[in-house]
Amino acid sequence: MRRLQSIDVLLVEDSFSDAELTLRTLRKDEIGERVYWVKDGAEALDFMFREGAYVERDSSQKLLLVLLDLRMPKVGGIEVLRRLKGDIRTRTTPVVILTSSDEPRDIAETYRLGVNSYIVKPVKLAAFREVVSQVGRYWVYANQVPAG
Amino acid sequence: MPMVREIGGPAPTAAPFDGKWAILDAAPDATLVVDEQGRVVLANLQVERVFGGSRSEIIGAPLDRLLPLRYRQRHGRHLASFFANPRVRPMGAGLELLALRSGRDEFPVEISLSPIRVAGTPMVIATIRDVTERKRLEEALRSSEARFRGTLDTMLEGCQIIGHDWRYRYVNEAAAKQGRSPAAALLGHLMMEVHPGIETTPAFAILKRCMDDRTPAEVENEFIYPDGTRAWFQLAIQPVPEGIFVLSLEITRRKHIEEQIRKLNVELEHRVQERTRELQRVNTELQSRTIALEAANKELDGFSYSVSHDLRAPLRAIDGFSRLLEEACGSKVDAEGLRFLAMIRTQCHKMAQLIDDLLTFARMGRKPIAASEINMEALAREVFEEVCGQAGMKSVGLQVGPLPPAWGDPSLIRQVWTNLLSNAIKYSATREQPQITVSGQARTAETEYCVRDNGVGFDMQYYNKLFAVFERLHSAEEFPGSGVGLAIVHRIVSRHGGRVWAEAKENEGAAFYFTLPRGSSEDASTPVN
Repeated sequence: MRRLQSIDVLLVEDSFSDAELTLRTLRKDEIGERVYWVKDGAEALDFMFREGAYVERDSSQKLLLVLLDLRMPKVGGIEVLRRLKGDIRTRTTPVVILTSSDEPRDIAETYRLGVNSYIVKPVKLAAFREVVSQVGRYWVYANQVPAG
Repeated sequence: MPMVREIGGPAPTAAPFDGKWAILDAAPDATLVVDEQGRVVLANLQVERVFGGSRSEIIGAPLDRLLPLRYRQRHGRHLASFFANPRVRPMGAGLELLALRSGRDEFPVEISLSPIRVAGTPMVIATIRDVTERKRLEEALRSSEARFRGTLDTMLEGCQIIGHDWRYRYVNEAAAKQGRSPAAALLGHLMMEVHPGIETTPAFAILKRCMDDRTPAEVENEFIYPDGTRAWFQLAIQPVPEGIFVLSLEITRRKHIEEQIRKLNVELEHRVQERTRELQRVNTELQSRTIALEAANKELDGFSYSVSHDLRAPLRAIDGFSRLLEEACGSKVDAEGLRFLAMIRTQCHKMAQLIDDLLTFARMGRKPIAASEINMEALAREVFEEVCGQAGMKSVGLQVGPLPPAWGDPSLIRQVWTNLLSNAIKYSATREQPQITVSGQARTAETEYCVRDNGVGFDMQYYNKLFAVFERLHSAEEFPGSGVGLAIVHRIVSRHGGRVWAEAKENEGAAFYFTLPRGSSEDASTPVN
């Protein structure tokens, strides 16, 4: 397990290829090392609420961003979002949906649940890099989160 | 038996009136005592009323002065024969004569005669009654009876009177005709004789109840003639003093019509039931189809959701990693290898476009229509600029005629313009001077719009493929596209309740038309799933 102390971004992504493309992109902006990747929603919830394998995780440092895919096995992105935004411990953590689909009902539902941003992953690598880089830099470098 | 009464005492004389005779004044009728010579010996008070004048003028005068002149001679003979054979002749024994009142007016009288002997002298007491009034009443009765009888006789309805003893008392012509036996064969005969077995019929039971209970009744009865033929009668039965009165009207024709109507009604009811069953069957089928359709829609929905999410990630991987391969190992791959990598990515992008278009098409079907009035002229121009900008076309000529406003979902109708105009631009791009004309007109129930270009057109032979999903009339190499654009146009317009069609000739341009219903969109706002 990597050093959990320096985690700023949680990437929730079940597709290995998408995860790799995302991580590669973020690395270019020197964010990659501060990203922790989990492969599904259940693991994401364990991480966020320090359960299961993440009981020991140090939560003194607040996350700057959760990059959340929607369609995942076990617990989907919508459910993860609902839990995060419904819990006092996690609801101020910025959550950005990063998904393949521009399905209108997903956009509507995630906004209803309080998502901070909704991004559709482009198919072309150039566009993908552009978008992911912008998102990473914005939330990690530009945005401020409440303390505590 | 002595025919002549002996009355003692002196014979009556004209005056003074003997007290014994005064009792005659109390008699209700005019009374005269006449002697054998035909002279009036005595007259009571009523004589004055009946014959007029004073009885003092009558007493002592010949009796025949009270008769019309023409009867006087005959009367003298009658008188003589009476005295020759004196006997009591009561009233109403045929002695109806005419008398003379005040010597002028003749009036009918009835006379009774009683021979008497007064002090040995044969005389006759004549009691005379003026029957003018009775005659008048009799005549009135006779004519009234004749009138009623005549009425009954000639009535179209059959009339019968049946006595308490069940014998026919009266049968009019119509009744005889109805019964097919002459009145003579019925009158005086028992009903059961004439119509054997009638006692067991329901109609007879009703007649009997009327006869016994004296209550009127009305009934419709089917009569069966001895030869087996049948006829329907409407009977009105009334108790009358003699028995019962039966008024009968033949209603066979009406019955037949009623029966026909009844049969038709039954048939109609059958048909209605049949249709209702059919409708219920169709309805049930429709319901199960709707359920199946809903299930299919749900599946399709799940399918497109899945397509939206899952089919893009692999494409992204193909594009991304082929690009990464190029970046990482570009120096180790020769030009041919790089061309292959580029082809992989091109096809990958095409696939991504197909998925996008397919999803757009699928979403058109389920997006609810939010209709409002649309300024079509402004929208068409706006979309044209947008499409030209995207296509990098600057030199396309556009002519937008005055377009009537439309009623529809602005975002969906924008999609229609986008697809039609981008098609027009795409297929006329090879022309030296691409020209697009947009026109429109308002009709009674709909507005019609047309996008015409001077492009390559198409062969009308393949028209039926034009609006189908993924169908293309040109190769993708020549004109890129997924074959969904016109299918989307068709779907949107259909969902609005409009129509789409096209006219074209190969190499001579194409014209695409669509219509939208005018006014309220209530009827067009239901989403078609």
